[in-house]
Amino acid sequence: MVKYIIKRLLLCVLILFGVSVILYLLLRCVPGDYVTNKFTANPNVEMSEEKLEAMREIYGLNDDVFTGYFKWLFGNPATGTKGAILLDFGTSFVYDAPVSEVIADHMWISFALTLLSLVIYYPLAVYLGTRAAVKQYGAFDYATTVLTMVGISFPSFFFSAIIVKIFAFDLGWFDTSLGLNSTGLINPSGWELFTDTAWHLVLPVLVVVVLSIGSVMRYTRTNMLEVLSADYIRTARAKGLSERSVVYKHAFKNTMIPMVTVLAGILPGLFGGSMILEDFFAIDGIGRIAYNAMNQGDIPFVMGYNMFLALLTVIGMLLTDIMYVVVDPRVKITN
Amino acid sequence: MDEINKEGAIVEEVYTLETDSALEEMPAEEPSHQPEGDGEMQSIADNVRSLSPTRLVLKRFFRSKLSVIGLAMIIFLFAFCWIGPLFSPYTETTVDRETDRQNVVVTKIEVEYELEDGTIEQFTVYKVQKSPMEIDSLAGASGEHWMGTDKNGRDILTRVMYGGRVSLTLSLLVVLLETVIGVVLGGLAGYFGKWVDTLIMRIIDVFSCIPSLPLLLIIGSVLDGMKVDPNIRIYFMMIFLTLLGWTGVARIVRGQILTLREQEFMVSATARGLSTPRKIFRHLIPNVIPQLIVSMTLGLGSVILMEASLSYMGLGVPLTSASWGGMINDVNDPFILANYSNLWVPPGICIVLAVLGFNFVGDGLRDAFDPKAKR
Repeated sequence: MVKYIIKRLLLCVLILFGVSVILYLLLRCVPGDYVTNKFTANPNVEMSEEKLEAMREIYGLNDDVFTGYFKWLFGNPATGTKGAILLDFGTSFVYDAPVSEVIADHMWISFALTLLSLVIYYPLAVYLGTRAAVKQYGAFDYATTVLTMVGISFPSFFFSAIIVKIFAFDLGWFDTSLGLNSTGLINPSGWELFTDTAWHLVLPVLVVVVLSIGSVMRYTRTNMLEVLSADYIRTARAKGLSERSVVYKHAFKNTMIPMVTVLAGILPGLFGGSMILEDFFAIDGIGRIAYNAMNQGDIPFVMGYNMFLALLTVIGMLLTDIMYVVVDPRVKITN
Repeated sequence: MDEINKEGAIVEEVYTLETDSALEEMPAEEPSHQPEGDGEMQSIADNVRSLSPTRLVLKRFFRSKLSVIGLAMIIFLFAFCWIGPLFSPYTETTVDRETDRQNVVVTKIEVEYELEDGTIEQFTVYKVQKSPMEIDSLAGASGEHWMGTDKNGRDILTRVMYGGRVSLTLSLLVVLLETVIGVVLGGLAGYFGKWVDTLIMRIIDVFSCIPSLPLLLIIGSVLDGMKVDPNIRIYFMMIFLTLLGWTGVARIVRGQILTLREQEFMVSATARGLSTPRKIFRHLIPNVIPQLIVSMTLGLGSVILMEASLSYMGLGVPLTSASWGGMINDVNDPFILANYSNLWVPPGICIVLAVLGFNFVGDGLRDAFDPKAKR
């Protein structure tokens, strides 16, 4: 087991290295670097070409791609960065703070949003999926199938627009003009601020729940159907157990094996945020921050953010595989 | 007895001839790989009723209501987008300049007037200015424009049709390309194993760990910076979408081929001394086709969603030509979001219909191809 995990971890490092090379190459292909964008856009500031050069030197944009990547990976003694290999992604141009700090600052609101949604949709999806599988091809099965399929077919921005139009503009229950805060708040107390933010999270959470419930529900249904056709379920029925006990004790536990592993795979991804959704609801989460940074050519932040996402994906994959071995006693690691 | 058997064989042959000619465009299944049925096919009753695998799949597919509804939705959308514009007096860029609507500007003027006895009286005067509108913009639904017009006075219904052309064609292209790349690389990995497999699988790992939306954003700005013609920029975006999306197909193909290459018909193919490409493309790939068709239909839905997101973020087609995602982009203006649903709801509904249609069809196909399925 330990040997397997170590092997997988080494593989993860290799994958992350590959991802970083591809991303850095692409990022350096973007013409119009941050310095040019920032200092030539403002007509009041006269910048000579030498000054621009000096600024580029400071921002580390003067090196060619390979030196730049090398410095990004192993640190630059001139600026005192330790390099990505020691989890130091440098200083963000746009936010003027260490990348890891910016990520850590904005990660939690994204995490709260996705975690809240997960807590709501996951049990609901498992419940619906199980019910649908037990009565396969019944009215309930058809209804949930159609509804959840409609859910996954919506683009997030379109569904958000509908929700905001109905609940914020027509019914007037929410005030979405300022993102997560109401317009009228003056010097709010901590509690007021908290309830206000929580209220404003309702719509985005609703969007995430509706859009993600479908795939988990389908997955539960498929697994449950497979389990229900297994031999030990027939045995359980032959023993004369009640249908309730067969479905919710014998079958359900076995359905949960793949579901738990999927959950382990989702968890790391919760920190990543969602660009379109956060941008639409003006939530200052990691996704929106990264979207802004990307539009302004902030290489250190974009690199840091994307590596962060890739890291989350890799950890998710690793957790899924480990959970299989932990949860399912039938799975053994062979060589 | 012999005679009866012969008769049965003839009936079967006639039957297969008929079904084959009817289903020529469907992918051929290799009957030689499904020897399980042979034993039963000897009796007459079975001969008359037996269906070719393709027939069986089609029958099971059409038995499910959802798949038929999905198919109808897709056919409707294709007809709507390709035939619809022929009946429209506008094109996607036509600006309607003929209108009798007028801009009305109401200004409130407050006047204070001092009376002779020194008291001040206030008057409120409303000044109403009317001027003819130059373009028929943001019009409501009418006989002239069935779904109204957008900010620039272009007909919404016509733009939805043209937008669908772009979305549907590009998604089909992307999925086809993805499948080709996936089949070739997955096939190589599965067939050759060893270091080829390891190398391709590591590449797949790297590609599936790259966050796709951020990467496409970066690529979008690279293309912008390189001054790529906005009309062909979307094709570059599609190429990169393909490069990010082929890994799923490759995984499926590899997994299938790993199990298939150990089976008896592959031993026989080797014994017959067939060349490697022939073994892969004539004997292994046809057996993966059911899974491929399912993953392609389901993939179409997600590619349409991805393309819509890209257009929504302004990375798709140029702004003058229509696209479903790009039309919804108008909701970023709260004024339009609140008051002009006719601008963004129709393209949104089209996206949902297209994705839903492909999902229903894909789901139906999966059930139909599944030999273990109850119905």
